[in-house]
Amino acid sequence: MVEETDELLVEKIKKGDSEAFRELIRRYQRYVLNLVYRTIGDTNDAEDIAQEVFIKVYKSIRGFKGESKFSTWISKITVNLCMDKLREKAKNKEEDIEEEVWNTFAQPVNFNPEVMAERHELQETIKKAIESLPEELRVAFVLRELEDFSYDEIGEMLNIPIGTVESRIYRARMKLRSYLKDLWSVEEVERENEMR
Amino acid sequence: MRCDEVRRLLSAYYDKELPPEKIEAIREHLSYCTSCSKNLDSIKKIHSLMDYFPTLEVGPYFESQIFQKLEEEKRKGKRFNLGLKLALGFGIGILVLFFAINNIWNLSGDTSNPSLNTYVKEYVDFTGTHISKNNPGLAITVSNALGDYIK
Repeated sequence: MVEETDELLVEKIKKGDSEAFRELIRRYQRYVLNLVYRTIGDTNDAEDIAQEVFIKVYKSIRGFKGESKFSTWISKITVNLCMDKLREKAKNKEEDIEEEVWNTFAQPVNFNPEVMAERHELQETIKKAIESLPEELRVAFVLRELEDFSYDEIGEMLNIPIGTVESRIYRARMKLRSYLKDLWSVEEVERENEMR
Repeated sequence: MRCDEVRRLLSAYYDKELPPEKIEAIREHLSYCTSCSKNLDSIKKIHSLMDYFPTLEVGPYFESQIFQKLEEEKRKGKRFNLGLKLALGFGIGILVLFFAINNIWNLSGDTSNPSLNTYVKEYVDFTGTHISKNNPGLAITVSNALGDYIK
């Protein structure tokens, strides 16, 4: 059986076909959930926010005219929702999130290879490093590095010129380099363990 | 190409987002510049570390919860409309009651607070306008009376 295209599913959903909407959810749920998780960094909220994305998609489906790919459109909705949540979180905290995490991260960390070799700690460190990035750098970095979007697509999603996309990704990488350079050797150990 | 320019473009170079002539120029620069080569190496290592970024799996009720939330929103929308209709109906009811009480007050002979109907009648009598069913002047007369009543 030939899989229906996203665009065909969208046309069916516009006519009120709930089965088509279910199929669209199944197709994109994992992708949206992880895009939210990687941008927000919070496991607790990630599923709720991801569900909000699909609710927003359902309500505004008539506004999708097919000028871009559906995957780009749903990514844009996801990113915008995540940015709103990040701003909300920042407003609700007394101190700036970035500063708080930076201060935590700036303290010397014991990168004992025996401890750090544990995958979970490695993951947590990488996750915290990305969370420490300012919101605008984080989003551009996640879309490029973790979601593999082109600079053009990122520019379209965030409504910024390509030069700005380039600059944000570059700055994100330079910030992460200083956070993560002590992990280079740990990562090599992990890869060796995997190959055995 | 100079190091500061290469450094700025290194990220886009790694992502293959540059035109061919710039890629070639950077490749040539990297062949002899160890500092820029180290920077590129860092970018590659950051990329490889991202393989370790944790991935979430979707919960078993994810899809059904979306439909539940949509249903809930639909119900809230209906409740809001019903509430609005009830509020409007209540408001109109209060107004009707007000005018009814006002009229009853005047029927009981209390002239200290004349009803609007009485006021219009007196106004009409005073101006000498003859009221008949088909009187086109009635609308003007009533609106004049209303204006004075409000004053």
